[in-house]
Amino acid sequence: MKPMVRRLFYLQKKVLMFQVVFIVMSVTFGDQFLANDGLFALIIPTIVYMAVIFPEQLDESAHYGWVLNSLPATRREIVDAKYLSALLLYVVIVLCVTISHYVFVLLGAIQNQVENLLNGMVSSFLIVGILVGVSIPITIKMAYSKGRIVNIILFITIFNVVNFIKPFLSESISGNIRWLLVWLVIGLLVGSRQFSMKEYLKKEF
Amino acid sequence: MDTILQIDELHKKMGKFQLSDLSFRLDAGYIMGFIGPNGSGKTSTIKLIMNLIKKDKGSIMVFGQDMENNEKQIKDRIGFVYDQCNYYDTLKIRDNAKLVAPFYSRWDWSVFEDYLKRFELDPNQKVMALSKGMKVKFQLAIALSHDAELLIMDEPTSGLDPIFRSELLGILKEYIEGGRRSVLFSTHITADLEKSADFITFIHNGKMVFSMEKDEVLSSYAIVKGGLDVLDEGLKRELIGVRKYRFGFEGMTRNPSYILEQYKESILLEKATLEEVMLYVAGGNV
Repeated sequence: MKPMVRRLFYLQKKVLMFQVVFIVMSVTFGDQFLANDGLFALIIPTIVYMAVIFPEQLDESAHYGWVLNSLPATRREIVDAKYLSALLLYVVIVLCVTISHYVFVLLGAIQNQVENLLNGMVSSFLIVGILVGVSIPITIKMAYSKGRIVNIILFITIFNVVNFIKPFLSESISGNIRWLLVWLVIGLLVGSRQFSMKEYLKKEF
Repeated sequence: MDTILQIDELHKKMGKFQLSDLSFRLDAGYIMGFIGPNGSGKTSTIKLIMNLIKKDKGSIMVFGQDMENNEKQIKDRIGFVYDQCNYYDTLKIRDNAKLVAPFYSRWDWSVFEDYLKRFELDPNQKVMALSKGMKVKFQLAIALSHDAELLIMDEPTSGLDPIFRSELLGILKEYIEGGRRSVLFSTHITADLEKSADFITFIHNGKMVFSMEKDEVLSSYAIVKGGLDVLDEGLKRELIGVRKYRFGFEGMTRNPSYILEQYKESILLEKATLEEVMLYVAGGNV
């Protein structure tokens, strides 16, 4: 499992390097919206989503499935690594963005400090969970190129919905509803993993 | 002697194509040539061995273990070279190796570096910049760097120049020295196998024609040549394929001693090459 996650991280790193400028600019020069809602509800999920989808694109263009499934690893490990690396990546990005945000605040480069960190993290987890939970099985079932349109629609829809309900996400989520939503997204991820596993186990290369 | 690969009554249906009743065995210390015309099922068989596609029936035992239940342990001991280089084109040779190396319990970087030097490959070169031959060398360097006991190669020599093909055969012979490793080498360039293979497995239209020692194949089949007046019904029955020309005929027999005994004076018997065996058996009456 470890080499599989490491492989995904290595490939994701290629995308993240392109996004460093984007991350720094967002964190440094973001306005009130970016600081309060956008940082967690838009920036982090965008980075995670792009980084998660990039290896799928690379794998398909190289037909890497042949290599991957010829290596000493099981198909279960291949699927699990997709989810695990996405979640680990989410944690790493949240840490990086949050730390750099507070560093810039301390340096006086940012005036608008994030007000409710926990709400922000929950918001970003919910969005990342939905994006990952839907896009991974779609990519496994349809292959990246065929699932690309669905993924783009999903991406745009989620962010429009988030923009629409962002006050609800970052301000009005009371404790119980917040955790209920978290559990619902965890449920979605578990179901998504089951579906992906079933599809990947019967996949032929 | 240890059996490295044993396939019994393997069946797989893929659309209109069907691979059926495939059975053969490869022992340690040998090179097996896996031959057949394009579309005969060679790649599908290799995919079945590697569990890239699922079998319908039959059994595939590698190192005495069932692939489906011991996939990880078995694949740790297999090196593979495919017809197409499916590594990341946009990454460097070294970076591709870095992604693959941690999967293998016995990966040896010094062996990998030695092969890169031997094949004159620059580790900092991107895979997309490699020629077809260099891509095969790169795949081979990866396949040989983790002490694999079974090397599976699917059409590695197609499109390659004779110099590299000859070099590759030398590497394979070197690889099996010691008697604990084996090679399954799929190709339709049979001349390569005449120099290197110990056993030949021939499939055609998804069915196995034979699996036997190369020398036995070459002594079992012979080309028969003679005048048209000799070509009676008895002789025709003994021939696999017959080509009639203006002044004579040419065909292949699986019974050279009988033909020689019966038609000694009027026919010419020549040793068949693997290519001729494949051509006649696959072509039937041309």
